[in-house]
Amino acid sequence: MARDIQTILLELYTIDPSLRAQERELQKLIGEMLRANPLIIVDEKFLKELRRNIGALAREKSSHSSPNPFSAFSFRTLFSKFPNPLPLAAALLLLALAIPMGIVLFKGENGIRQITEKKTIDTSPSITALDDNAFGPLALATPSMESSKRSQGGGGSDPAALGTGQAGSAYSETNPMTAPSVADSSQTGSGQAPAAGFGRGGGGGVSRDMASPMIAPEFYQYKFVYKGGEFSIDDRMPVYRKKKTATLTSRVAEQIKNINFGFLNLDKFQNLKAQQISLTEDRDHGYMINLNLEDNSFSINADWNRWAELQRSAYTPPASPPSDQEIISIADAFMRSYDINMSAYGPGKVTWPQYHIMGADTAEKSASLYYTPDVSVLYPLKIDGKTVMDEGGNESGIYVSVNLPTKSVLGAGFESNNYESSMYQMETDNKKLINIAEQGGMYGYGMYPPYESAKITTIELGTPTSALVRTWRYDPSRNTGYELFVPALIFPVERMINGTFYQKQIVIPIAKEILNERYPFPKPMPLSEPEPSPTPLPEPAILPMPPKQ
Amino acid sequence: METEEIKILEECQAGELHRFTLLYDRYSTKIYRFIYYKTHHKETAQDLTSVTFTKAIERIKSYDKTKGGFSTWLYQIARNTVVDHYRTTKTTANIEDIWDLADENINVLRDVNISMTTAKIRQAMENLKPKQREIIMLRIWEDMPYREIAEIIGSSEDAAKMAFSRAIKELRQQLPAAAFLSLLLLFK
Repeated sequence: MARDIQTILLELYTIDPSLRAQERELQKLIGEMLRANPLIIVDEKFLKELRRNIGALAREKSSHSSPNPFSAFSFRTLFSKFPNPLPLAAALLLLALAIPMGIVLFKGENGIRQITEKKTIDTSPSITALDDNAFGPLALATPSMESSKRSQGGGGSDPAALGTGQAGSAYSETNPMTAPSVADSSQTGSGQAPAAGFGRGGGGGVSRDMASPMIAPEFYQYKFVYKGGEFSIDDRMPVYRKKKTATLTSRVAEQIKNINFGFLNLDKFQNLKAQQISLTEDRDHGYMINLNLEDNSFSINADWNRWAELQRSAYTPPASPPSDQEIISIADAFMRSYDINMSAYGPGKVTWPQYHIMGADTAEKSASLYYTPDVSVLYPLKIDGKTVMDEGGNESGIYVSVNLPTKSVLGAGFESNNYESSMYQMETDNKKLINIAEQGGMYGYGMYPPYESAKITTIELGTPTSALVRTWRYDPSRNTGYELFVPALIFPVERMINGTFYQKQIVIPIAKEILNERYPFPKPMPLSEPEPSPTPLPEPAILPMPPKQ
Repeated sequence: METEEIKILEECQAGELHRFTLLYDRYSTKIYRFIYYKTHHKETAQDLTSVTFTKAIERIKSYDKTKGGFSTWLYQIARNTVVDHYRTTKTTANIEDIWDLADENINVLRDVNISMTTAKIRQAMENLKPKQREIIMLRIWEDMPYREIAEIIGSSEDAAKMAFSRAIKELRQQLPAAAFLSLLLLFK
């Protein structure tokens, strides 16, 4: 606030230098004005509801923007132009009867009946709010399996056996084996820094049986440290699930059944539903379109047979690679040209391959590296205004592949954006969440104790932001998987000391059921330090048997 | 105005109105706060915020980027919406916001979300002209630059700065000497 007071004072002195004489009083006055700023609590529910209404209004105005050629037509107008309307009425009646009879009787080539009605699918995103906990339990493990859980060492364990049946341990820097249990986090005390976790990166060891040791890879571990500030979480937040919107599967199947293929009579099959349709443009530089009618998703990909440029094996990178903005413009233009609704996504961003990121920031700097002709433009998915991440800490959404030599889109996959939402209980204990972050997040990179021979890479995490994480769940009762979008905290990786870490952010889903499913992490099996190389035995290693006497 | 915002506006004006929700995400909280400053009533602020964005989306094609930034245009709509609200709901014509209604026993502190540290500041603000009050609120509470404030209130940047300076002087003068001394003692 001191900075704001000074800024305003300096502005005032520039406008009216005589005010300098009253600096002390003005300082108090402006400070008081800043303190008097009303505490306005914005109702998030209201903002979300208004956003939905604005979205609906936008859709309505977009559909009415095309001029309706029949808007001026009315029967009253038509009949008013004729002094004796009876002949006209009779003619219209005959026409009204003739049209349906014509449809029934008409049979085009190969017995295909004409589809006279075109159905419009609304691809705008929508969210249907359901009752609380409407998706059932979020955790994979069922309550009856709690008693059968056993302590697990490293990987390869039965996922159903993991859960909250055991106390986990947080490892402190000073004494990794005796740090307090996370379940009793009050013991850490307010005056202590949170325990830092250690992660295990690569590994190696020497077999005892070998006469000469193998060259072991460098053994490194990650140590995560939270350096951010305070944050708060609502105790109940919506979890989202894709809404099944298979509305056309039966209709399309009915239409296809009317086709006389000549080699198969589809009428003999019962209750047919169309699941997928593939179409191809019959032209140079055409595209293949795959429609999944069960979830309203689709993909568009270049038909390689009709793109001669893509079939060349040798590729010469251009002298001056296109800028990120130019690449994004190519992807944007593709979306617009096919009327693809992108309202559920944020603006596009180029995702350069890893070697670009590690070796150079832009294509210009990476001229000496292997240069890929294809790059991806990511359009991050947003649900209810929140960015969707994957469990690896990357933004999730649509990836559009852009071919740089032809400056064309090669392909992209699109999904439906109809969701259901239901409120669930969230974890609000900041200390617990920070502790999980300092163990590397939900997959526990940092749960292993430090080893003497390990190279420690310290990763500093910043204040988390709120987002959604895309996660898969499995319903054993129905033997199906389904996707959930769960509120999550995103801890940014702000600094890496003495090494690198491949993730830019640590993602932690904060739905209590999902969190308690994995956390506290089970104690890993302790790893042995690399063995020293054995002393070679003199030849022969086994002495000959003494002769029989 | 940043490039991304210009692009979104162009797309909206070209008929892709679904992109308007991105602008809504950017400005909804700011506009709500601005309207709340002028109404001090949660439900009224919500209604008028809704009206503001509805008007904005209906008039998006008439927005001309050469005449000013989108945020300025949106704030102007919000401002006019508040003025229209009070002029149609009250018989007195010269009402621009809730502060002008203080003499009708309307308690600006009635909303539990407000916490004004001194009643004297409130009284002094009530005695300012609406434009002066607005400039004070936008500059001190919203940290808005003078250029944008000028566009919202329909004056030049220099005029907005002068008006701000005069408003501060008036506030300084309106606070009685004794009360001001007590302020100094309180916050030394």
